[in-house]
Amino acid sequence: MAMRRLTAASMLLGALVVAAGFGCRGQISDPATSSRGAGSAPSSPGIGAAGGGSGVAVGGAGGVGAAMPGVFKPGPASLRRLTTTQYWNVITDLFGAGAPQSPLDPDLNIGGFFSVGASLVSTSPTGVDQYETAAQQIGAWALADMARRTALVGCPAGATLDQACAQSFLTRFGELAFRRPLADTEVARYMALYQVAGDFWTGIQAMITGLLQSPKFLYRVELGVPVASDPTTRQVRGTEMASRLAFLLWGTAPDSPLLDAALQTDQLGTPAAISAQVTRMMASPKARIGMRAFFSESLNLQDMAVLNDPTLAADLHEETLQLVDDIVFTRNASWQELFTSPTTFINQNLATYYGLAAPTGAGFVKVAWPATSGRVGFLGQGAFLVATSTPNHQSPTLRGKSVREDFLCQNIPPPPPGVNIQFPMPQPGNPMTTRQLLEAHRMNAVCATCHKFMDAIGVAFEHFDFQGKYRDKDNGLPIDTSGDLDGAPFADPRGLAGLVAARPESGTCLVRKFYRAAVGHVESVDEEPAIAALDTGFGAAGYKVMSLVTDLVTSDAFRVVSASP
Amino acid sequence: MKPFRLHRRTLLRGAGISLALPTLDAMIDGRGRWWMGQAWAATAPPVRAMAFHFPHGVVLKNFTPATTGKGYAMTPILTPLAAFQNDFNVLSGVDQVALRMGVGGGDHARGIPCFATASVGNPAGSGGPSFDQVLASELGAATKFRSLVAHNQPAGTITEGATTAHMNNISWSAAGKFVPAERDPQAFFNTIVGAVPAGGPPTTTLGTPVPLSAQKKSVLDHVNAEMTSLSAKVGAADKARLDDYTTGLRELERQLMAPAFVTAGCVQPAPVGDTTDFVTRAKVFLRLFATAFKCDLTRYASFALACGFDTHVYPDVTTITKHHHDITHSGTYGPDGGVTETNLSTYYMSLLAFLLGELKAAPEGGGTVLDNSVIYFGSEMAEGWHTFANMPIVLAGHAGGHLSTGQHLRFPAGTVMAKVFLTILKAAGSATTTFGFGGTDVLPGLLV
Repeated sequence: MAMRRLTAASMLLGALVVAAGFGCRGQISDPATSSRGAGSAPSSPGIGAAGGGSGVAVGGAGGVGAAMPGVFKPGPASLRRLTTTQYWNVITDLFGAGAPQSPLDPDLNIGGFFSVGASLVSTSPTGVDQYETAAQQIGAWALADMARRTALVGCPAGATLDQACAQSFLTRFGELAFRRPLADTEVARYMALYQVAGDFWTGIQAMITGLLQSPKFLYRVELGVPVASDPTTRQVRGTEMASRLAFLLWGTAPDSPLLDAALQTDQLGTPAAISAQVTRMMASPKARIGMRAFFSESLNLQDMAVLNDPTLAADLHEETLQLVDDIVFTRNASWQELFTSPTTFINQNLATYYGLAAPTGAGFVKVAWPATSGRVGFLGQGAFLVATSTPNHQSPTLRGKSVREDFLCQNIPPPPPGVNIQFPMPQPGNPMTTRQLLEAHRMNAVCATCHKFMDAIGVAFEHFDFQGKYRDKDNGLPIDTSGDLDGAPFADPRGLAGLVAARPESGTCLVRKFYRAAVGHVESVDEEPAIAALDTGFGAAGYKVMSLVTDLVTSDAFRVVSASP
Repeated sequence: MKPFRLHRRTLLRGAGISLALPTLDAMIDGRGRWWMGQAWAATAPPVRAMAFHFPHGVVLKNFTPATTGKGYAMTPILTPLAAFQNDFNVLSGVDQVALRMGVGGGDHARGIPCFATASVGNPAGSGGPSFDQVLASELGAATKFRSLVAHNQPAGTITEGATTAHMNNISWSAAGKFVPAERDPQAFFNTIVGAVPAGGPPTTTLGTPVPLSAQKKSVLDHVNAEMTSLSAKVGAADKARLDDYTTGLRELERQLMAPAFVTAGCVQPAPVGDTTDFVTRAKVFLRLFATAFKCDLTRYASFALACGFDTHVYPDVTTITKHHHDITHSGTYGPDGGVTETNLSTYYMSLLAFLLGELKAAPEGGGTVLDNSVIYFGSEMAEGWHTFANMPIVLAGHAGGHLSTGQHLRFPAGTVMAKVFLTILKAAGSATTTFGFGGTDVLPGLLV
């Protein structure tokens, strides 16, 4: 059993490695805009050497299959374990704020996404223990306070604390915990647990701790129902669709109105029925909070350890999420503004960090970047500049790599095993800029094949050190930030940001990532048509994320799963 | 085939009472020997094994003793261990060959999973189990916890081209499957001193609640039934994941039944207190590990001082405000020719000395708990500028008399690390015959 699970995981990782093994010949390009046939043939020598400039075509596992994309075929429906964030969101929904938090089995990050890891992660024995401890503690806490436990159990005043009351609690609370009404067999099983406990409150507590450890609570069960016209697929509808929507858009379980809609005649089985709910859900403050997990993962905001300053890291993280919130929710503007936005959001701490005038009050305010700052959009924010640095060194290589991988969805292979990847040190008495050191580094032909794709754009950010702060000179020498993105020249980071925004791949890349988060796996080549269609719609709608969200959740890609998991 | 072994604990559990037991033929240890003429209860404490990691290697010229055998002169980095010279060995010439062969990520990302597994890693993580987990799986059922795994730092977010799993975990139960470490000293404390969560069920006037452990058992049985009912509806891969969960449930049930075995040195540890400071926190963890060994809560453990990139700054060791990892890359031996790196290694060594002191202060049988332990203290690389030959290794404790100690042993260059771990496994009573990459035989001169 364990072997089989490992095989599934290693196949996915293996696919990424195979894709990475291409090397960097010719020009790096995105699968959506290049000839997939050539890009998909890993053994073919000289890819991209002739015509077309097709090279490393990676966007996910898509590089593995040799077939041209044709008809969309949905991916598998895996059980997705609640991420730690989702778990505590749901606990707050069920019990109110203040439940005692304890550590849970760690989430798994695959391909940059915890939402993908959730489909593959296995729970360790320690994790089982942690879920048990959490369930015990939450159950004890929920019932320890008289007012809280009365509100939770909810039997009418004066009612006897008896089996009927316990069962009415179970039916109501169980539906919220399992995101669906309990089956009769389940009610019987939980009531048996209640009976064993010996008294009313102990019995309620046993049921709560049981519900919170049930796989039907810890995992999202979205297996779909058979489709008569096509035995190879199953349709996700009803409460399963409610759960799929709620975790994607809100990062938590469905609320009662959503579950009610799921139990009505059309059972969220049509695009129109889903659309109506999505409009309500996206207007809710829960969406602004719930979708933060996606943007945080897709913009790679997790890793600012090099700052060694958790407060600053949290503020920089928040700055980016505020910019995203402004573009996506407040103004429903084009996603391209992520790169070209002339404004950002700062609090007092960040005002000091950026050398800007401090806002009054403790919160974040919208400010314009001064022209002299050289900054624009997300690529000018500390979060990007820090997350792509190593301790004490800014890295044009990592910055260039991030632009390609995180925003254009291209993959750069890792260095071949055994090569020295330490950054070259300047010789004493012969000061050089980082750019000059990297140019020397690229004299090595093996390194140059890949590094030219990263370093040539990463140098745009050389005015910003590893902490993302402005510096006038590098090693006492003037800084040259000019370069080119696949032949299109730029003079500075603002120029590069404009080029990235104008590339259609920057839109496609968001579509691809949102797709992965929504379906919980890295797409196969059979799913490329769905991504292509969503991408077309995204462009036609002026790159508005709100529009992408509706298009995706009403599409077959979200509503249909493979019948053979 | 695994030889049949009957644990004394098995007998106790079966009998339900504790009394002096006669020695039976089946009560032999992993090396096929048995304890002559006396009952185990009095004379054969269990052998504990531990993997203990410090970050970023050493400056070897300040670590390796000049002479081999016994009575060598202490080196600067070994100085904190001077009082224990007869209780440990220094091993030279061992090479982390498997690390060089691994795929996926940089040297730290391959080095951490390799540290206690000596396996050829891959993009999913280690290529096999760590030695502490081999013991936990094979022999761990005798105690409340099969193993205890802790880490002195929060999980880092740096991936070095691999995953955070690579960078943050030294214990692996199987290839690519890490054992999550406890990183919160207070939670680790709670695990050890009290298995029952705070609060407990509220009382009512109706009837008498059943004891918590019995209630816990009935809930676990119930969750098991829930697993089975969902398992029938899902595909093979998901079924395997649910089966893993069920395995964890069985572990929890076993813990409820396992009898407490308390030795003379077992006392409740002091409250945790403020653990913001690196050394204070490490000492809290180490004291709790010592408690767990002394109270026989577990016999197998792992503890890491830092993640794959140690981004900790050490103001009590150096005025340099760079992270440890950065110091190791400011020139070959740091910015000062190795002075700071050596001071850091010595600082870590003093934490090993602290643990050895705790274990040596606890009498057990005719000796001490240290006499019945084997502790591997090492790093993910030999020197901080990324070398893997001549790994710095301290092997402490006598493993119940199965390890000879007090020596500096120099092995031929290229001796694989896996042999160190196979030697530890044998000393701790495992029936394992091969381990990791190239661990086909034990190192000479260690096992008694």
